[in-house]
Amino acid sequence: MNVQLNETQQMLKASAREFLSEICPPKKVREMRAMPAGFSPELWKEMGSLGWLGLAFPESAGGSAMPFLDLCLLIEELGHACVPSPFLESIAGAGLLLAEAGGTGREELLTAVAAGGKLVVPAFHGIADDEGRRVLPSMQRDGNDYVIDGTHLFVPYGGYATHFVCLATVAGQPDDPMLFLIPASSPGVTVIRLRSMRDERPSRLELAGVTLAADALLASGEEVTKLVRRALNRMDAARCFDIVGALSWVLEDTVSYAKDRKQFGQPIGSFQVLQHYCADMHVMLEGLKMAALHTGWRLSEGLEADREVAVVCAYAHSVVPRFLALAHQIHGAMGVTIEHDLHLYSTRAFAPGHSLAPLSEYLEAALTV
Amino acid sequence: MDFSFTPEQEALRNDVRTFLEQELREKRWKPACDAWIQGFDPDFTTRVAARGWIGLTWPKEYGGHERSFVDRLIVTEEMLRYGAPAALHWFADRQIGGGILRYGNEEQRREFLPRIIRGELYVGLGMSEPEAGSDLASLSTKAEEQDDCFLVNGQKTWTSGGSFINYIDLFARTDFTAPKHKGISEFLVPMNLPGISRVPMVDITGTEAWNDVFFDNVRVPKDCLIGERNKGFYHVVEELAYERGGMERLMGNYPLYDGLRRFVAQTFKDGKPLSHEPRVRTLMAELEVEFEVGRLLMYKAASVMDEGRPPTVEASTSKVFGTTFEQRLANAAMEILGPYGGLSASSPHAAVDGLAVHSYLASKGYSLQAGSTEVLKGIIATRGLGLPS
Repeated sequence: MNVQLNETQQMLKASAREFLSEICPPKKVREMRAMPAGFSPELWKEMGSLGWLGLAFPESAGGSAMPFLDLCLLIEELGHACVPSPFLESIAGAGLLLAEAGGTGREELLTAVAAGGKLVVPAFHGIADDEGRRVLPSMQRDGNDYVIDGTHLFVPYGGYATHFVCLATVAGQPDDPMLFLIPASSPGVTVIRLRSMRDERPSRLELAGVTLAADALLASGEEVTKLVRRALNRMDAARCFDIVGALSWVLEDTVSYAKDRKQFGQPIGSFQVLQHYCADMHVMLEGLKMAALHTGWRLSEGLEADREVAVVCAYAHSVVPRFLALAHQIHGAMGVTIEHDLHLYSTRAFAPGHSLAPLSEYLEAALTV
Repeated sequence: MDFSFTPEQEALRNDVRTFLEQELREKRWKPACDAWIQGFDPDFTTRVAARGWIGLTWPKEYGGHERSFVDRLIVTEEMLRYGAPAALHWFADRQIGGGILRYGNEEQRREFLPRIIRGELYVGLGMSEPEAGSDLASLSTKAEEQDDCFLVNGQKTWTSGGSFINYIDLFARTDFTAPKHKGISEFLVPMNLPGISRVPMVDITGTEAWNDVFFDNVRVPKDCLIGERNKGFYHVVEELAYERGGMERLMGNYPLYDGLRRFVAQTFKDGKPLSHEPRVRTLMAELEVEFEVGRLLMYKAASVMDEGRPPTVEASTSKVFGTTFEQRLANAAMEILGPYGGLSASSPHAAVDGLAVHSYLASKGYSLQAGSTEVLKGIIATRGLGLPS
C-alpha cells in the first residue's frame, strides 16, 4: 500500500503545471472558450509535440506507452488550469479505445491523433424515443459495405472531430451492438452544435445513409460491450481526476481570498464558520482524490474496476455541488461576477453523471446488497 | 502508487480473520459496536497478545515486530469488522506505547513496552477534566514537584478503560506561571497509588465505559514522568494525531453496518426484499460509497504514519469523515428498521441484535470525543490550509 506518486509522475505533474500556468492562465481560458472550436487548435498541436496526446498510446502508434494513471494525472493538471480541450473524450475515451480495438490502419490514425492532426471523439449517447428508450443508429449491409442511419446526441466537439467512434446496432436487433470508425467527411454526416454552458461543445450527430467500407468496423457483439464499457470507465475515471484538479484550484483560490478579504477589521478567513467551510472542502477533496487514485490505479493495472468507477463517480456527485456552493459562499459577491475566475471552474467541474450516466446508475453499480 | 497489499499483509489479514472466526465459533464473545473502546475482556487481550498483534510497529528489542502502520491498520480493521472486545489493549497499542517510544527514557521503554505487548497493561487516558475538554491546555490537575515525588491533586473525566485500567496516561500542570500549554507534563501513573479513586460514568447508551478519576494528594514517583517537564502538551498534540487516525472512526459500528446489509437483503415487505425499495437502495448505496472513500482516507493516514510523521491533518480529515459516516449509518439504520430499530438486544423481535439502539445513541458522541469535529476542522483550516488562527 503506497499512496505516493513516483518520480516520473511528480515530474509530469510539475512540468504540466508550469507549462499550463504560463500558456493557459484564466485569461487564456476565456479566450479559448470563445474560439470557434471551443479550444485552441494551436495549443492542441503543442500538446501533441509535448507528447501529451500520445502519452498512453502504444509506441507503435507514436505514443509513450505510459500507464493510464499517468494520463489521469496529466488530466488532473488540465483540470487545475481549466483548459478547454477535447483531451478527456478524445484521448482517454476514443483514442485509448482505438488503441485497444486495433485493426488495419489504426496505428496511422492514432499517430496522427497523437500529433494533434486528427481528432477522434466518441459517439455513444444515442437519442431517446418517445418512451425514453435509448435508440442507437442502425446498420444495414450493402454488399461488403455498411450503411448507418441514426442520431447521437451529446457528441463532444462534434463540429471539429475528424472521426467518430460510433456505437450502433444491427438494424432491427437492438441487442446486437456494433462499433464503427466514421470519418467526419463522409457523405451523410451532419453535425449540429448544441448551445451549452459546458466546455465540451456537445453536438448532435446525424447519420443519413452513411456508407462505410468493411475496414470501418471496429468491433461487433460482445466485444463492443467490453470496449465501450472500458472506454466509459476510463472517461469517468479521467473526469474525476479533472474534477480533482479543478476543485484543487478552487480551494487554493478560496483560501487565498479568505486570507486577503477583510471585513469587520480582520481577514474573513479567521472566522470560524468560513474556516470550517474550507475544512469541509478539504475533506471532500481528499476523499475524491483518494477514490480517483484508487480507481485510476486499478484501471492502469488492468484490474476489474466497474465498482470503483461507480464509487468515485457517485462520490463526485455528492461533493461537487456542495464544494462549489461553499466556494461561492466564501467568495461573496465577487464570486458571481464574470470578472472573477471562479465561474470558469463552476462551469467546468461537472460530475460524471451530468455527462453520461445518471447518479442512480452509479449508485446501483456501487451497491453490493 | 500501489493500492494492493503484499503477500505478508494478506497473510496477516487472513490470520486475524481466522483467529476471530474461531473465537466466534467457540462463542468467546459476541460481535459488538464500539467494542474497541467498551469491550473489556482481559482474556481476549491475552489471547491477542499471544498472537503478537499488540505493539506490531514497535522495535523488536522491546518485543515488537517492526511492522508498518498499514499492517497495524489491517489488524485493527479485522478486529473492528468482527466487533471484537479489544478495548483493554487498544489505547496502549494505538498511542501510549508510541508516546513512550518517542519521549520516554530507555528504562521506561524496557519496563512498559513488553508489558503492553503481553497484554498486561490497560492504560486509560487522563486528559479531559470537567473544565477542560476541547480546551485541553487549560487543564488544572496539579503535579507539584517535591523532593521525592510529584504531588498530584485534581480530577480527570471521561477516562477511558472503565474500572479496568491499571495505568493512567496523566497530563497535569507542573508549571503554574508559564503560559498554559507550556506548563503541562505527562506521567504514566499506576492506578493503585494511594489517593487515586474512581467513579464510573454512565453514558446515554447506559454503558459504564468511562470513569471520573480523582487524585487526592497522590505521591507520584518521579520516574513516572514521561519526557521532559513542561513538554507534555507537545506530546499530547502528536499523540492525538495517532488517536484520531484509526479505522475505529469508520468501522466502530461495523457489526451494525454488516447486520443492516443482511437485514435489507433478507427481510421482506409486501413480498419483496427491503433491498428492492428505491429509498432503501439509495440509502444503502450512499453508505457503501462513503464507506469505501472513508477506508481510503484511513489508509492514507496510516501511510503518513509510515513516513515517520504524525498525521495531524490527515487524521483530522479521516476522523471528520468517518464519524459523519457513522452518524449517517445510525440514522439510516433507524429509518430502515422502523420501530424494530428501537428494540434493545434483550427484547423479543429485536432487529440486528439491537445494535441500532447503541449506535443511534453512541454516535452522538463520536463527533465530540477525541477531538470535536469543530476542533478538527479548525486544525485542517489552520495547520492544513494555512488560514489565520
